[in-house]
Amino acid sequence: MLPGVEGISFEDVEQEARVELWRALQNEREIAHPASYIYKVAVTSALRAIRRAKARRETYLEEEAFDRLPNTPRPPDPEGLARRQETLRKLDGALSRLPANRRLAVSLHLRGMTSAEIGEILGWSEPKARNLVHRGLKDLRRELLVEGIDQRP
Amino acid sequence: MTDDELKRLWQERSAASPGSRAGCLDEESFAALLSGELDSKTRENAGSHIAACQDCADEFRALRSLGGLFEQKRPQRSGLSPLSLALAASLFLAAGLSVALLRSRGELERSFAEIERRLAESAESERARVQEGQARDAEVATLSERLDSALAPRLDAPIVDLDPFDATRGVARDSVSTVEVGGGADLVTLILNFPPSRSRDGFRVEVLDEGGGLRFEGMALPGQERASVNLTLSRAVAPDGIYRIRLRDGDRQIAEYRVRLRYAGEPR
Repeated sequence: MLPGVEGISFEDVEQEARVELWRALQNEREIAHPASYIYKVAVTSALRAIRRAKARRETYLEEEAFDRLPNTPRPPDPEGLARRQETLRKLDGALSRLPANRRLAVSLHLRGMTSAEIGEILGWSEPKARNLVHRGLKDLRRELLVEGIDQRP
Repeated sequence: MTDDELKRLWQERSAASPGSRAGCLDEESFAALLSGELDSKTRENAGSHIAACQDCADEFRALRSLGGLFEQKRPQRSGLSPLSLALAASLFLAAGLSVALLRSRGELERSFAEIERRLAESAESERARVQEGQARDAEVATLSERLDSALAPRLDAPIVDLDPFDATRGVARDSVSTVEVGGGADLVTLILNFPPSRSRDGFRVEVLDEGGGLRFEGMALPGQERASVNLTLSRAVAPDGIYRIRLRDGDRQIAEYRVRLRYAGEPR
């Protein structure tokens, strides 16, 4: 399975990426920097393939979910929804008070990124990313406590 | 609230409005991000977006997992054709993805062998194409040089009077007039003298080499009575050698000349 894209295999992406790549290269005439060009085409092809595979999977899941729909839909939980919205508002507020680097590191951490991934995105070393996540989370706990949320590691 | 709960809450937010990809990273941005080409400000913007967008976070992770595929050689300059590039790129993809897929060793080796064979074929045809191109360029350069030389003004280009080789009694039939063209000149003008004559259609001049091959033929102006025709030969048409020049009026031969051309010095 491809990490980050549930239900999609490497094979799904590989076939599509190859087709994309050939199609892109067939239309080219003069290529000034081949290695750079191949690199970009490879990334582009893989991304398109991932997006198409995701779209197929989402369509399939929607159809499956539709087939399994109960006769009477579950009523929404307005209280739970409001509580979650309020917590999110407080979380946004707490994050906004963090120094920019720490805020970015923590936001990506909350998105599920590892320190190595955060470092790659932001051009930091992995130890620097880990350190900023650690300090940022500490700051966030303090700020959330001010908002009335007790956040434990 | 635990760290995991906080993460779930954060991640559910972007999942609540699926479908819209406005503002998401496009292919170029991902390529630049993965290759480390973005400046720090653009990186921060990309990071902020990924932090807020589950789709882009997933795609970043998926592209990153193709790891070796995108961490290959950095840009190098070379002149490959699109076909070679396609094969190289195929090899590139096959290498990265195949390793990631942990295919069986045998299958992997066959796959590589096939790709390498096609790559070698392509490289061979690429070499032939390059050689052909170089030969064509050289030919064009030579022709261009000749054209420049032909169009350049000349000083002291020799002008030589020629009488028909059998005009004087007692001259051997194989008598040949020698014309020395000196000073690096590559043009010579021969004045072909003959008994005064008039031609209705014009005089035909033919230049033949020793083997009888026709090097030049042309028509002089018709209508007037004439006793000579000027013929200018270039070194390219008539290099060192013996030539036979025939002057005809229709089927009737008026005169024949034999001349040996000798050029001194390299052609200009």
